[in-house]
Amino acid sequence: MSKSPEEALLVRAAQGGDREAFARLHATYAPWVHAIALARVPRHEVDDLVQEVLITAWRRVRTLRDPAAFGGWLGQIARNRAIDFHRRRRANAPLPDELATKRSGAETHARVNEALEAIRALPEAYRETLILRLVEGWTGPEIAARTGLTAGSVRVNLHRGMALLREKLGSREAS
Amino acid sequence: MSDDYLWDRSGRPDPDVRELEDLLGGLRYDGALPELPPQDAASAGGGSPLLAMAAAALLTAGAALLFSARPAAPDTRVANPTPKPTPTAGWKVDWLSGEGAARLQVGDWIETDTRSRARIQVATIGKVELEPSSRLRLVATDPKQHRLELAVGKLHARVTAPPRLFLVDTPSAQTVDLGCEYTLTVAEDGASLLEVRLGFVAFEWKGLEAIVPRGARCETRPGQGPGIPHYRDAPLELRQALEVLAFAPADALRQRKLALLRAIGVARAPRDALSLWHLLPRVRGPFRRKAYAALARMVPPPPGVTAEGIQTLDRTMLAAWKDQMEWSW
Repeated sequence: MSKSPEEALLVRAAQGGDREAFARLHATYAPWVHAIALARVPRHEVDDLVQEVLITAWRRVRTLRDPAAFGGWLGQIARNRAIDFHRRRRANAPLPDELATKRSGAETHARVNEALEAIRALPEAYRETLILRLVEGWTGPEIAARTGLTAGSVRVNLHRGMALLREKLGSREAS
Repeated sequence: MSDDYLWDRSGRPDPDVRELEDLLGGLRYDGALPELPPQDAASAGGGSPLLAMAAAALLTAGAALLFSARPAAPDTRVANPTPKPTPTAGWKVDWLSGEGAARLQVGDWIETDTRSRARIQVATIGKVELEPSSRLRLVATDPKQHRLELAVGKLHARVTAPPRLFLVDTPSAQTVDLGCEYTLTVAEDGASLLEVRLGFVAFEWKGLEAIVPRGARCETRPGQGPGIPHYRDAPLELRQALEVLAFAPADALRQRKLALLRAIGVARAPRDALSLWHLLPRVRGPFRRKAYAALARMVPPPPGVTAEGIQTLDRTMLAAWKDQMEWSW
């Protein structure tokens, strides 16, 4: 959660309509929203979901009474939007192929999608943490500071999640 | 290898982690802030009920749980023009994070944040423990049925009651207690996982049923209902094959055939008979004949049960065969 006084000031300023303050909060927390979305919805829906969450957060930030809770509040909006997405989507609707990454010249679609699919198949506690580490590039201490999880929990999630991921990706290669 | 590199990029780089960083780094967020519309006025409780719950869950200082009648404030209970007096006035809820106690009434939601847990007294028949990051609603409570809805998250239930008195709805199936203790996890996409510690639990959806005994587990998926139950320590190859047989499209014939052959090859008597029995209604034609043959080698069918009858899913024969093998589940 937002623990620094500076961040609380930014939240207060955003509540007063300060777009620049909200832009600074966006720079800190948007990767987390992106990770939550990437862990839950198809790749081609992620960007729209992130934008939707950010706009909702801007519109409703005045209802947040405790600025220190901004990060967790934002994360909860993202998770709820992901739930809404799945409820709106027709059951068994076919999904298009995942999109290429920006470096698809270097990596194949299949390897990226396989790795992402393997992470999404992990228990929920590990998915977000691993995506924050491996996709967004946050370190364990950064994940703990911004998400409100304890450092111990983050370390356990990373360790166990990575162990399961090695097993999944290893077993696919073996078969 | 130490996990220091995974933790904070210190120490010797882990080659698997480095490879994944390189592979997945291209997905990193680099979006711009969208154009921002006018802000809403500062009024709590306005707008979407989900957002109201999300915001409210973090507003209450120190208390990690939220009660909310849908979708507005708890005052709607007080405003109910025909309140129904009950001897217990709702189910008792203890917040395990030390916040005190409260009452859960029909229609109320309870939501835990990332750190809080709750213990809920289920009428007079048992207890449910709700894990962090969960949302649960009391749907009904009367002498014939006690029913919850788990929208997302995890609960542990321990119930001592006649079968089918306690039910939990999830987005992809209904859990029917048959006298037991279990853990039910619902992911945000509506998929569920049931793990049974004591007794039996049934998963039901549109006529499809899965009986899950002690030590076994079963997944469900939205729009597809329950998968095929299997024991927690079943070989990975069997679990993977059962997943294909439960959830792959019906026209993925080659994939399903390979999965069936793998499942039959790996399944071991007597416990894996649980999975093969549940496989019978999931496959057709020659696949069902193969599944029957494998199951019959494990648990010879009793007199009166024939291959032809099982091929047509004769209910009497299926029930008789299940009675014979259920003791070993």
